[in-house]
Amino acid sequence: MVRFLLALAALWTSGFLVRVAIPEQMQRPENQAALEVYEDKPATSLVGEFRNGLSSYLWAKADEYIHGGMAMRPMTDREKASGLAGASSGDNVECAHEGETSVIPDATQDTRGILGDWERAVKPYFPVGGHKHRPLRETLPLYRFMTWAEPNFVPGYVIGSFVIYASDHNNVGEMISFLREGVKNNPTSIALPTEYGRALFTKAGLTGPAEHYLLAAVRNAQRPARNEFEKDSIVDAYRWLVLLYRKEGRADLAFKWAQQGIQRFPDDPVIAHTIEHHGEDIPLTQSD
Amino acid sequence: MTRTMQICKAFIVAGLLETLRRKDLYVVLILTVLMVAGAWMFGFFGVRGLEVFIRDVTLSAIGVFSTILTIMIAGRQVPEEIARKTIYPLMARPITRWQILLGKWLTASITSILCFLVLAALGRALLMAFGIPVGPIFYQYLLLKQVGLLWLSAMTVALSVYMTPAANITICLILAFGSGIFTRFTLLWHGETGATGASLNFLYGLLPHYDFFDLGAKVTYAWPPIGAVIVLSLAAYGILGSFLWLGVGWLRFRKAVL
Repeated sequence: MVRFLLALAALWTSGFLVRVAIPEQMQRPENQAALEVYEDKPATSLVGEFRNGLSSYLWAKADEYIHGGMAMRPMTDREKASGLAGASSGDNVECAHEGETSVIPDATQDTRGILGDWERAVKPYFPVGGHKHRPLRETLPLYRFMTWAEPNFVPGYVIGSFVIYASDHNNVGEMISFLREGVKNNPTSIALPTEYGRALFTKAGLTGPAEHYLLAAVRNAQRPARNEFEKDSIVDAYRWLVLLYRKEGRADLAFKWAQQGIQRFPDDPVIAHTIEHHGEDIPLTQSD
Repeated sequence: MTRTMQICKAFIVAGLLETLRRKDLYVVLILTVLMVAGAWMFGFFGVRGLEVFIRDVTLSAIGVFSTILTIMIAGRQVPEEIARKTIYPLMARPITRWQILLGKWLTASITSILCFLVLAALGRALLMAFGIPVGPIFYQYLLLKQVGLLWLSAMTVALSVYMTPAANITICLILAFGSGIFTRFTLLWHGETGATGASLNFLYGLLPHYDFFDLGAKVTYAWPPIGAVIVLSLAAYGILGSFLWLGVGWLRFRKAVL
């Protein structure tokens, strides 16, 4: 026990010393001053690249974990043109497989003969059509590590929180605390306050704080989104804000935000539905 | 044959003592313990579901360190005899160059396999201590990896008579760790037929497939054992490949001016 506590103390001390010894290298590029440091100090940029690279590696590794170690890849143009069936999920795990196939080719597509058979036997491999996934909880450590390595890695927090909840529906508190950490580390993100607000609203029933974070997400969405992941979350921010107001019976506020949302997303059914039925008592449906 | 075995035995004993003296094995044992115990310690920081992760780290550490050790051990067998000029008293005895090469390969192979088994036993013991099970495929992993180390030792010993030690170790590390990656390049030209397809398949067959002897990923994700026919055919491929590499080395070594 004493040895364990000593090891723990050593880990914490080394983490503290790293921050003291290289404060500039530990800065995150989230404001102008920090960005300037990144431009002036190559070491900071290198440490940043390392953190980013590590989190991207762990992100890819998480996909391998739920496929039992089997690596997937995007289909080539030739494969798409030939009408080759891509990967598809055969269970209830939500996993994006569009245009993907396995790195190791299927026996029917493989011309390597016995070498191909050997590879399919010794490496994790299964036919990708309608495949099953391993328990999501096995990827939990990876999401924890990738967000430790790179606290600005927003998809890590968003998908990680989903994995925490999906692996056990009793983990609402843990999911919320994981998202809270993400929001704290990424105050300008759109996706994180949206997810945090959604979790508070739908899983914890805390509409007040949920409203606060969904409004923050919409506010953040006034600035250009950093990447596609963030951009895709803008519509969700409007949707959940509208749904929250509808649930609370605050029809005017729901209509106000739906009107703002419809200007950016004219085809969104949830927002359009709210505008069409303004003034009516619209119950939340399963599709909402 | 008996004489060849006696020569090999003498080389093996000397090689084992040399490896113990150099303490390479101790270094990798300590590193393995640190890596696996480090991965396990994340559990104390509230990270759950670490079983697969710890198995992954353990198998990766065993695979990486045993490969590096094998290349380091096999890569120094012949060049050090030449550099220390201890090859001359050997050549003065009634020992053929083929026997020297074979003896050096067996020395490197047996030493590497022993190091690998020690590493694997340590990894298994750590996993047991952490209460993490491994399936029966682990024993197939041990068997195939040993065949892979025979093949890797043969390649390293063979190339050591063509290149400088530094170049040889670099090339062998690239071939061993890159085998799973650059064979993918040939797969990207899928769907080719005729002469192009045949050439690509020929090229694929020529490329080293050290990764075929590694069941580490399947052990990590607790896959069921693989068929005995596959294990036996891979063992035959590995042993045949080893002798092919030794043949390549002997082509140069038999007439090399020492």
